[in-house]
Amino acid sequence: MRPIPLLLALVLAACGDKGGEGPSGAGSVELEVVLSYGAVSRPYMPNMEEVAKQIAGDLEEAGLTVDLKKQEWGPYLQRVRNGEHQLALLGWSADIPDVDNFLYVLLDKTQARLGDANNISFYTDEAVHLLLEEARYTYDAARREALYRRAQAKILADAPMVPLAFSDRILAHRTSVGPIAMELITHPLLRLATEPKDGRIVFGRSGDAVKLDPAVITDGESSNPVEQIFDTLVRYTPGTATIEPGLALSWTSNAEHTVWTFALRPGVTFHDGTPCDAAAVAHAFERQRDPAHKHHKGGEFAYWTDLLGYVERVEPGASALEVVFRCSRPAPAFFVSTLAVFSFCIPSPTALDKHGEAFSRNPVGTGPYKFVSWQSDVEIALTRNDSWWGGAPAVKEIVYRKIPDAGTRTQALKSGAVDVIDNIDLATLPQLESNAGIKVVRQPGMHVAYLAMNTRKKPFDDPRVRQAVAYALDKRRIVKAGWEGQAQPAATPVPPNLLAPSPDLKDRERDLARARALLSEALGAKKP
Amino acid sequence: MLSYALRRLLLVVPLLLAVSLLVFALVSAFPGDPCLIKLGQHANATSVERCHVELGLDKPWLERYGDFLAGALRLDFGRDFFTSEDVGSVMAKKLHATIELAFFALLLAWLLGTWLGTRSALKPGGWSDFLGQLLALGGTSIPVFWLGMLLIVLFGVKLEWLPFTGWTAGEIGPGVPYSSGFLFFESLFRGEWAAVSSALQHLVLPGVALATIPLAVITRMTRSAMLEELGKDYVTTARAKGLPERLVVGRHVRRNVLIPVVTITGLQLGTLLSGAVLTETVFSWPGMGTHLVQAALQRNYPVITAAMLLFTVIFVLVNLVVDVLYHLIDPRLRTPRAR
Repeated sequence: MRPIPLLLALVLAACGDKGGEGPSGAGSVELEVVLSYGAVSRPYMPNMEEVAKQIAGDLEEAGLTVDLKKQEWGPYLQRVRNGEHQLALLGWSADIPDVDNFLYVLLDKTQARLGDANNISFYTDEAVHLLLEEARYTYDAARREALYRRAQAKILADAPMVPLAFSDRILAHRTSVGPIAMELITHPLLRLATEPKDGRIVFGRSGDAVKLDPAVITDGESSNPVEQIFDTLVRYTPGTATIEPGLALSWTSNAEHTVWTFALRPGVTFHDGTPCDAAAVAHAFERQRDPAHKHHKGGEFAYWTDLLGYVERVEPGASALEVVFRCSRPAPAFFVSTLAVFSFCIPSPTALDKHGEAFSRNPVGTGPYKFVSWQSDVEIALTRNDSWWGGAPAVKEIVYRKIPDAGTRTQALKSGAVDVIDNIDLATLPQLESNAGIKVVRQPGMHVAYLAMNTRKKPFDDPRVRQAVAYALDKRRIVKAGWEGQAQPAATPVPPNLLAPSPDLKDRERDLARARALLSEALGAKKP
Repeated sequence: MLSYALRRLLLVVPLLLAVSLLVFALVSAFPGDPCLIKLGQHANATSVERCHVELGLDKPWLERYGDFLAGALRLDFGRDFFTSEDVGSVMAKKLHATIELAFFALLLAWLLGTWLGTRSALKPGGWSDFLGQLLALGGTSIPVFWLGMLLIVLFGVKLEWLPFTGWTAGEIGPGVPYSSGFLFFESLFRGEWAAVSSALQHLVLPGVALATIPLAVITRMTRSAMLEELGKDYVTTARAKGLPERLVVGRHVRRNVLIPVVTITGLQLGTLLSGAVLTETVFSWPGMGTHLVQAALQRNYPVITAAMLLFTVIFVLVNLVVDVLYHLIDPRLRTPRAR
């Protein structure tokens, strides 16, 4: 390619394919709507295009004319968060396995600020807001669940969005290595693999890490090695969303839930020999909280503001093994669970002093694996930490290798060039499943894909139009088209492994007659 | 000759200025905010604003361009928006990997292409003509990612003869302290024979896949130039005076054929060096092509700008080398231009 065509290509890439399929124009066009989607594959929705087409087909059967608008991911995200869309496809991957992380983030009115909205339906129902707020600070699990069920019922009735599917997280590995299991939130815990003993596991994945500093990263390719190199105060029991002790052995709070004290595990040291004591742990959090901290550099620390913004100060307690979190208001019920997120891994303060911003390429933690080397865009090598507090892992070396093409990744697994792959092309799954030397591992994921209806824009300000859309969709067909069947249709935005759907909460079955009736009612009412 | 080359090189300066301005303007006009892409679902007003300040995106466009130019003069192209790495040194390694692959692909294409082209012109309708036509047709019409995948499945997975991923220092030469991205040339230079052999094996499949494109062009160009030259009077004269066919072709015809072939090869080299995106993606080759595509999708402005400037330089240099080669091949061009 010569420079000029290349420039053109860049411009075209930037503008994205805006062609789309315009409205046919013919027929009795009662209502024309625009469905926007991104030209991208996300873990919660691997094939947005197919989903968009299927939805458009369903809606046209109900009498709507749908204009599909495809955009490149970056500009698309900007548009929907600015509320410029009518209908838009999006999804959410949970940070914390908690109902709040779905309902509050996606549907609370505080999340509907133009520009950085996560609630891109711009649903601002006050009753739902009050329920979700109350649930945040309800520490009794049963009462909390009851509040969420009430909020869910109201949301389903108002239909600000149509939850589409919960897709599986899928991984494939050679049977000569393992066992490797999919976790709910984190990446596979390679410390749990027993084979090959004292050997090496090569993990083939689509992209390289951006940085390896837990405090500043936001992407999965970075958090995968980070989760092996570092530890958090608490962690998820493998395969579950339950919290168990990590670097902290136990924790208590005052009656108001504003002061939390964590007792640290004694005798833990970082890979560079620095003791992991209260000072080191407090340092890790203060660094993220305090913009004036000398190591508050090299990133936006977005997770801190989003997830722990209510923490006022973290400081060493009465002993060298006691850390105290002081909050400006009661910490929410899921506070401790938040501390298991990779962003809140504990880095070595000595290494931060030594490397400064370059810590992100020389990470030092307390985890089961130690960082060895990183060749940008090629591979990251780790070796086991023989003195890990949880016992040295069986597998000695881990290599993360970037193999951008999904087809090549599959072939690399079959040839044995790599031992594990993720981001699998769903079309090649049957091929992998029939291979005796390969095991495919599945786990319902902590993410939801949904169709957002912008309640700030006509005609979706009218709940009847939104309900009509919900009645018009055939979720089973959508799942088949967009996920090759590797997903569960979603009745609510909350994955069933977090909150089992209550029997009295009935999702709308496809009912075209009802959809049409609701539409003509809404449109008729609008006509002068 | 030397002053001509120098003049050509000096012309690069205004060209680079123009290209940098154009690229900078275009890139800044792209829709899509790198900070939103970077922060993903955790973008909020505060973090996006901080990100803008950190990346310098809060400054006006012209000021950023000025900063960029000041840096570029010192060969400092800034930090990658995402990884914070030095754009120049990362790009150097990518370019090394691309150069090695392009070198092998072009070497293969040149050797096979000129040989096949010559043979098929000398014996039109023969088996080599048929093979040449087939390769030329295939090379231009078979998508390289499909061919690459086919090679992978056959030679990498079914027969297990050749590796198709793993162009990494650790795989090629474990323990060799590489200081550049030239895994093959540096192994050769250091005398690490095991690494040289491993590097060669890793180069075969991507090299063959990539070579099909220039191979097709070179074969066809050689064949048609050869046919044209063979019909000229000087060939008849040479044959009439009883010169053996070997010398007619080898000494007289081939020299004239080389001129268009060298031109087209130069253009192909430029293309290969500016990134064989598809081949690099299929074979996980850590080169320029994939690097630029990723940067464009992420709105990684410093990387896009630096890469475009680099490609400009490459094209100018390749064209210069081609011009110099003309002078070496064709003595007529060596006479002074002024009468």
